[in-house]
Order: sequence, then structure tokens, then C-alpha cells
Amino acid sequence: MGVKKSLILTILILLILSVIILPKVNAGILDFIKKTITGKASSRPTNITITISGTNPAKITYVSPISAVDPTEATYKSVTFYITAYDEDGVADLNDSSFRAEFNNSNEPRRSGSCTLVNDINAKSANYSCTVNMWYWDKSGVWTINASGTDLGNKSIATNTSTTFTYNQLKAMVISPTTLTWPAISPNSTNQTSDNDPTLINNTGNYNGTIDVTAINLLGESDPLYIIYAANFTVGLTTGAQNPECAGQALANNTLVTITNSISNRGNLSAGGGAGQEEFYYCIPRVPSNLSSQTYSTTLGGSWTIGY
Amino acid sequence: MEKMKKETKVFLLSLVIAFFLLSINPIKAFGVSSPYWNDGDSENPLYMSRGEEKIIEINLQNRESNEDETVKAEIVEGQEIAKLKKDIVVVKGNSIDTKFPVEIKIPKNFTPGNYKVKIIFKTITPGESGAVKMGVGMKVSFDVIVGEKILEKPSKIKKEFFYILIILVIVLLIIILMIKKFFVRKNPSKILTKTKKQKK
Repeated sequence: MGVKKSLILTILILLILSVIILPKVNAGILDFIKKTITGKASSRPTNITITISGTNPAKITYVSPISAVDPTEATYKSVTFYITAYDEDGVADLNDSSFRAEFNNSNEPRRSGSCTLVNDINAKSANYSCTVNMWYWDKSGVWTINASGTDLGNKSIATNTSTTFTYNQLKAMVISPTTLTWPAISPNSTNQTSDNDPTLINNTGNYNGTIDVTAINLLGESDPLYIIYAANFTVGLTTGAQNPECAGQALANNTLVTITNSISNRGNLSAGGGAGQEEFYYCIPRVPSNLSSQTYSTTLGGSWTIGY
Repeated sequence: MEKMKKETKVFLLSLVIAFFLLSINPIKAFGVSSPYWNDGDSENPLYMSRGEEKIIEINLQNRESNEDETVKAEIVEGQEIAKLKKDIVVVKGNSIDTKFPVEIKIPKNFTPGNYKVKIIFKTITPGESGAVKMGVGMKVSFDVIVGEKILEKPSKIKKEFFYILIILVIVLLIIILMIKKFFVRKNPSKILTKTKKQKK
């Protein structure tokens, strides 16, 4: 009995060991033996790349909506959205590197960007992420998204212009210097121009229109009963030997005055040539006669404001 | 030794002056981005119905300056439909995303038509002795086009009543189920015989 038991146990152990040791790819023990005995080179899997180029054209079936975009002062704003490309011949037929996007607005330079594959949605559709940079001077309003791309087989360009987005208005500026000064002036003197103008106004947004100045009366710092009224000042767009700024737009106390012919002139400030820039020159055509000798400033009355 | 000390003092003083001069900000910057506008070279009006309420967000920017700007807002046109939640806001230096909410509320009895809203944002600039100090200000101006349609807001009481009714029905269903279960457990034979009798 004992011998029988130990025999059965040995057979069982051998069976278990054979199951563990033998490679799992072999169909059976005999197969394994055959292969090792013959010495034949075992078959190896080979990678074969098959490019499927179909005759059906690619389609851009979806362009994700873009919510209204705020421009950013003096720089660009990256606008990202997603498109879905479809090809009846399968996603392998889509030419991933061919997909691109453009933003168009009539008479404005178009803005272009590239698209990258995010993932395959299914066997025939793929999802691409597209990014286009919009500049601070780009026109506010509705822009059309133009997404395009091709496939490897048909090669005809698929486009989708069904989606639009709103590029918001940005009124922004940088002014310098932030103070205006005059040399010592005397009552009744004429055509007294500022000695540190112009105020340089850089348009760092996309507003195109006139520029305003809100002036405040200058009060005497020692005796505020003496005042140089805002109406005594004029603003012009040029200067010269004849002091043309002295015949410029007269200001008014605490009143928004639009400077005639001024223009915010939206544009690329880095391009130079005056794009996005305006200059203001200041004058007191006639200094009031009833002024006491003291310093006059905006310390008590409040600062002047330049704006759109 | 004394001379060296003096030179060091002068050097340190000039460093302090240089730092002070550099820290003076010679520019003033400010920007306002609005989702609706009616000036410049395009326009984008806000369409609303009578009885409708909306909060629009105006984005204040100060990217070009390192200094924080305190800005005062004021509605100068359209007070009958526009309301500010606050009128003073600090726009951090080098920031581009200070949201400023404006509430637009059209009464039900309002006459349909085109209404204008104008809000002025001005930087609060402290004065400077002996000079004219300059600040920056922007006006946000847009049209609100009010249509004929009257928007009926679902009554709050009606909504609450509806929720209570659903809860009551659920509670009632649970009670019925529990009672049924209780009777089945207590007297299963009675129910069985009853059904048998009914069959007969």
C-alpha cells in the first residue's frame, strides 16, 4: 500500500512540474519534444505595416464651440478648440499632420494655427486639438473658424466653416509720463506749453476710436481759493515752433472732452511707425491774471484722466 | 580709514537713490474687456426678454504695470436696468482676469426697445505736488435690446410644493410596502387559505 501511495504521489508531482516547466505556447508535450529534437528554426512573428489608403474623402464632422474670448493686453491669447475628422476608409487613412485651423474676419489678417491628434474616437473618427493665437489688436466681433485637413487616399481637402466665435472688445492703454509739468509761468503770459509733454498713449487693446481727456481745475497748494481752471488748458496732437497745441481742443472741468482727430489706431506696437500710438501736447494759451504766486497742482482737486 | 568710510557711505546712498528712482513707475496702464459693446469698429448688443435677469462679467486687466490699481466704477447711463454689485475694485499689477459683475434686470412691464448702458471705470490716482497727475479711464458702453417676449420665472413656491409632493409619494409607497411585508410575515397561512378559498 505504502509503495503504491508513494508512486501515485511521485507521478502527481511530475505532472505538476511538467505543467509548470513546459512553455505555455506548445500545444502539447509531444510537440515540444518534436521541436527540440528536429532543431528546426522556430517560426518568428513578423511585423507588417499595412497603409490603408481609401478612395473616400476625409470629412470634418464637428468643430467644438468656442465661448467669447477676451483679448489680453499687449500680447496674444491662445484659443484652443477640438475638431472631429471622419474617414469612411478608417482613421489610418487620415493625414494627421495635414489638419490645421484658421480664424477669419473680413478684411482682417487671418490667424493660423496647427492641430494635433488627441485620440481615435472609433475606427473611422479621430479627435484633434487645435490652437490659434489671437493678437491684442485683432478686431473685436465675430470670427469664423476654418478647420481643414486631408486623407492619404483621396487627398481632397476637407473643410468646416460652420462655427464662429466672438472676440470681445478690449479698451486698454499705457500712458507715459504720468505727470505733466510747466516751467514757472506768470499771470497774463500766453502760449505756455508743458515742458515734459507729449503724453504717449499706447493702445494695448483692440479699440479703434477717439481718445478723451477729463481735466480737473488746478488748485493752489497753499491757498486753494486761487484756481487755474481746466478751461485754460488746450490739447493738441502736434507741436512745433508756432505751438499748434495752443490752438487745440479746450478742456473743461470734470467733463469728458473728446480730442478732435485723435485716434487710438489699433495695431502692432512692436511694428513701429506709429501703429497703436497717439501723442498729446498741452498748452495754457493765456494764464489767468488773478493768480497768486504759489504752486498749482492736482493734489487737492484730483487727477486728470485719459481714456477711450 | 576715515576717507574709505565716507566713500562707502556715498556709495550706499547712491545705491538707495538709484533704487528709489528705479522703483518709480513712469507708466500708467489699465484695460477693460467687455462681452458687449457699441463703439469702435464693431458692435455686439445684449439681447434680453422682459422679466429676464442676467449678470455680465467685465474683465479688468493691469498686465503692463507692476503696481496695483484701485479702480472706481460708475454707471452713467442705463441705471434703470443696470446695477453694480460694488463700485471700487483693486486690480492687481500684472493681472489680466479681475472679473467685475454687472447685473442687468429687465422689469416685466418694460417697453420693448433699444436701451443704452454706459459704465465708466477710472483709476484712482493720488495727486502729486507741483504737477498735473494723469490717470487712465475706460468707458464700457453697450446696447440692451429688449424683445416683446415676457419671460415667466418659475415660482419658487410651486417648485418647493412639487418637491414636497414627490417626497410624500415616496414615503407613502415605503409605508405601504412595509405594512404589506408585516402582514405577510405575521400571518402567511391566512393569506394562503384566503387565496385558496377565493380559487374555490
